[in-house]
Formats: sequence, structure tokens, C-alpha cells
Amino acid sequence: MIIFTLRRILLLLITLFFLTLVSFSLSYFTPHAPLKGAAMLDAYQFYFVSLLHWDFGVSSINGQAISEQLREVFPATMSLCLLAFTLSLFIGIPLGIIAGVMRGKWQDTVISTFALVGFSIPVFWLALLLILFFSLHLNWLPISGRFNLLYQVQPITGFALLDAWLSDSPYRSEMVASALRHMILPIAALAVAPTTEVVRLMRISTDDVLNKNYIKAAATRGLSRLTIIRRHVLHNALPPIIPKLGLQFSNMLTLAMITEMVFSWPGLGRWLIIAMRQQDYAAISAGVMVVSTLVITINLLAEILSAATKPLKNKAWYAPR
Amino acid sequence: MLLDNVYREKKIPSPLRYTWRIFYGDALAMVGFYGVIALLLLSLFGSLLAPYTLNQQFLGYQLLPPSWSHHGNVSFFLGTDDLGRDILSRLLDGTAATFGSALIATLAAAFFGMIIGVFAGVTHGLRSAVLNHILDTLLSIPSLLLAIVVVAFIGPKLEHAILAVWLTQLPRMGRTIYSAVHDELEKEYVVAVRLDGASTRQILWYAVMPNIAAVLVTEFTRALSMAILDIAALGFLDLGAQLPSAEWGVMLGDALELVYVAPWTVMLPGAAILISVLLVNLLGDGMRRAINAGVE
Repeated sequence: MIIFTLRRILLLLITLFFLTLVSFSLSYFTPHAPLKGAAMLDAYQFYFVSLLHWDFGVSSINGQAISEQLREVFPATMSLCLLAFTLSLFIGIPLGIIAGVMRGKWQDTVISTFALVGFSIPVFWLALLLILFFSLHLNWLPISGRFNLLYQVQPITGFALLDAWLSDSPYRSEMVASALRHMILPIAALAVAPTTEVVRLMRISTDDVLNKNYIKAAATRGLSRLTIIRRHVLHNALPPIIPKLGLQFSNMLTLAMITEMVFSWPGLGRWLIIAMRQQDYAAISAGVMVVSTLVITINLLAEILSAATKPLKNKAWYAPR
Repeated sequence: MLLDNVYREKKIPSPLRYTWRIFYGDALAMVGFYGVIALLLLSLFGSLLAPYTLNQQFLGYQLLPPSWSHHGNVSFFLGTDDLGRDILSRLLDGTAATFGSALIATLAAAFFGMIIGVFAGVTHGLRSAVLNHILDTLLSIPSLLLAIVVVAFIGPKLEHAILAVWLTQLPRMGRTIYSAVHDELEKEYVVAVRLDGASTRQILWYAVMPNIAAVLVTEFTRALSMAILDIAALGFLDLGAQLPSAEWGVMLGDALELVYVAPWTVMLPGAAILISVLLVNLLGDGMRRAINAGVE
């Protein structure tokens, strides 16, 4: 297990090195590149050393330090992604298990059909539909932003809910409520596609496990269906899909960028796309580096978690070949 | 039993025929099949079918609702946009830009992904490790981010969006094919074929390929549906096809400020994207079911 972890971390370092090359070439070879003109090796050395000091340079649009801007936009995206991901796990895993256990019955058909439609909806269109119905038609929820503009929320952590919670203004509870209300629609739009993916993966995995001999053995021992599902199916069906869920996170960030654009959510994706339109190459380069480092780290954690939780990992000890 | 059989021989249908029979009996799969064929034809001949040309404007007919509404006009079946352009014509024209380009990107990705995946599958040691690490690096960059990198280098354009989508699909394809080939090569029948004296090329072609067909088909249709969504998303964000183009994502993004006044200008392109992705997925699911049943 330790050797596995070390090997994966080595792989992570190599991958990160490749990424610095991609990110560096964005601030060296592009039309208005900030590092243009210097000798390539010197420029790379300068870039690498400042990267180690968490210094991404200065935005060529407003002269603000990129690391400052990142500190503002990063938590906004993370809160959106984490909440939507948790939501999709909470909805997707039970539905996937039901569909896998009830394979071929009407429950499976209904769940699979919804999953297929949910996977096929373009996220920007779904976001617009939600706005059109819940904000414009029913007038229940706000369209864009993170707070009502009436409230002055001081950014402390950068996470909207926490900031509202931590503020000492007399309208604290209203601020928390406003932050919550602003979050509902983006999270709903963002969670749909990952949920369908969780359902799909979980359904296949459950079906695989149900055909295994140890399930038959458990049934022969007289365990009830519910116990078998809870104790045997769930434990064996979850670990193999954890790395695939980790890969889903990269997809999730793409979706988050689009959702942020529709809801004017001041996050990483919106910041990157605006930087792209303004040709702010220092910002793009930093954004590429930060986002992909995040994705790789999460994939690594998912793989290690999956290896650590797999019940079969001890098979070699109990049943030596 | 078989009355048209002159001689007493029993015909066993070939696996391909059997697979086709199952596929043919599957209603949803056939909907997907005919739907995707229709999309293909539309992306080839859509602009010929369209009643008006792409950028023809009709003064005095701006923002007409679809013809079934009370204020609609039957000569503009799906209504018009804010510049008085016929939406049906634009949608038909845009099929090539959205579905066609997604198909090109996916086909190219499948071709190169196959080469990379098979090569990584049959090699061992250092060469395999290097390939896998490069694929992993590419896989870890979210597709939209990769598109942003591409556009940052060479500017926003539909062709560049195709290139970006190709780049995101390639490692995914390569990875899937690699693990499928690798899993098959471990199995005992491959050892049997090898003991019969087959070369690596023959093993791949005759033993491995038929058995990973289901994986290939599923992966291809899945990649195609994601490519459609990605191309449309890039168009929507102004990073792909540019404005006079009738790419569905661009149409949707362009009509964004009209969403309250004229909802159909936003609804229709979105519905077109949804339906085409749905058809591709139906086809893929049906083919996977049929191939799996045919192999068993």
C-alpha cells in the first residue's frame, strides 16, 4: 500500500512537470505573452521559481496580482463543485443500486431513462430553463450572483455561506438565507449530469457484484435481501467506481465553468473565460496550472481511497495462491 | 419446421446476422439508428433542404413565434429571430456545424486513439509507461480548459474547436481501448491462439478485435455525444464557431438576451442539441445490448 502510494505520488510529480511545460508555453509562445523576449531556459527558470513561490505574475488588464484574484475565485468554484458533487452522490448512489438490483424491471427502466435524458441535456440550456421557470416565471429564486446586492458581505474565507455566517452584521441570518437562495439554481444545474454518471456507474457495478459467488453464498446462509445489499453489495460495488468518480471531477469543472458563465457566478471558470476574451495570458497560464493540479490531486486521492477501501485487497493474505 | 428448406440442413445465423436481428427487434435502438442516419443526411444536405438561405433577413417579420402559435406565420415554420431570419433554415444549416464537426472530431479521435490504444496495449515496460503517463496528463485537463488553451494559441474558430474536441477525446479513447485490449490479452483463448502460431497482428485482428467491439461501439457513441455537447458549449461561450454561423450553441448564446421576449429562439437550438445527443445515445445503448447478446 505504501509502495503503491509512493509510486502514484511520483507519477503525480512527473505529470505536474508536464503541466508546467504546457502552462509555461502559454506565457511564452502566445501572441502577447508576458515572458516573451527572454531566452527560453532563463524564462522557464524564472517561471518555475516564481511558481514555487505561488507567484503567477500580474494581470495585464488591471495590474492586480494573479494570486490575489485566484484567492477570490477559487473558493467560489470549489463551494459550487463540492456541494453539487455531494448532492449527486447522495442522489446517484441509491438510485444506481435500485436500478442495478431491479435490473429489467420498471424501476430500472424509469431510472435509466431519466439518466439518459439527464446526460443528454446541454448544461447551459438546462441552466437557462431553470432561470426561465423558477426565476422569471415563478419569481422564486434570484438569477445571478452570490448575494443580494443590499448586503455588504466581507470576504473572509471566500466561501459565500461561511462568509455570511461569520459576518457580524445585524442581518446575518438574512445574508445566509440570501447566499443559500443564490446557490440553489447553479447547484441544481451543475448536479444533473454528474448524477446520471453516478447512476450509470453504480448500476453496472452493482449488477457485476450481484453475479458474484459470494452473494450466492450469502443468500444460502439465509441473509435477507436488504442485509445482502447493505453488507455485501454496497461494500464491493463502491470501491471500483471511486477512481471513475475522481475522473468525473474533471468533467464537473468543465460544467462548472459553463454554469458560472450563465449565472454570473464569480468563480474560476468565469474568470478564465473572461481572461481569455481579454487575452490576459498570465491569467490563463495560471488558471490552467491551478485547475489541472486540482484535478490530478483529486484523481490521486480517489485512487488511493479506492485501493484502501477495497475489501478484496486483503485476499492475498487470507487466501495465498 | 422450416418449410422453405429443401434439404435437411440447419442454418445457424452468423454472429453478425444474429446481432443485427436483435438490434432490429429493439425499438429504441432502431429509433436511434434512423435518427442518426437522418442527422447524417441533414448535415450533408441540410442547407439544400432549408426553405431560405442562412442569412436571409425578412424586414417586418422579426421575432415571429413558431407557426402553431396564435401570432405565427406558416411561411416561417419555427418562427424568426431578432434579425428576421428563419429559425428552421438556420437549424437545418447548423446540423453540419454541430453534428458534422462533432462526428469529424470523434472519427479522427477514434482512429488515432485506436492506434495509440492498441500500441500501448501490446507493448510492455518503459514504452507502455511513457504512453500511459502522457495519456494520463492529457486526461487530467478538463475538456473546456484544453479548449481554452487551444483557443489561446490559435484564436476562436469552428475548426479550432474541432481540434480542441479531438484533443480531449483522444486520451479518453486511447485509455479505454488500451485497457480493453490489455484485459483481452490476459485471457486464455488468446494464449490458445498464440499456441496455434498466430502473430501479434493476427491475434489482434482475429481474436481481440471482435471481443472488444462492444467496448469500441459504446465508447465511440459516448464520445460522439460528448463531442456534440462540447462543440455546442464552445460555441455558446464564444470560444468556438463565430457569429454568422448557425452552429446550435452559437445560436443559443446569441439569443440569450431574448430569452424573456422570445423564448423559442433559445428553446429550439437547445432542443435540437438535446435530441441529437439523445439519438446518438439511444443508438449506442442499442448497439451495445445487441453486440453483447450476439456474443453470448
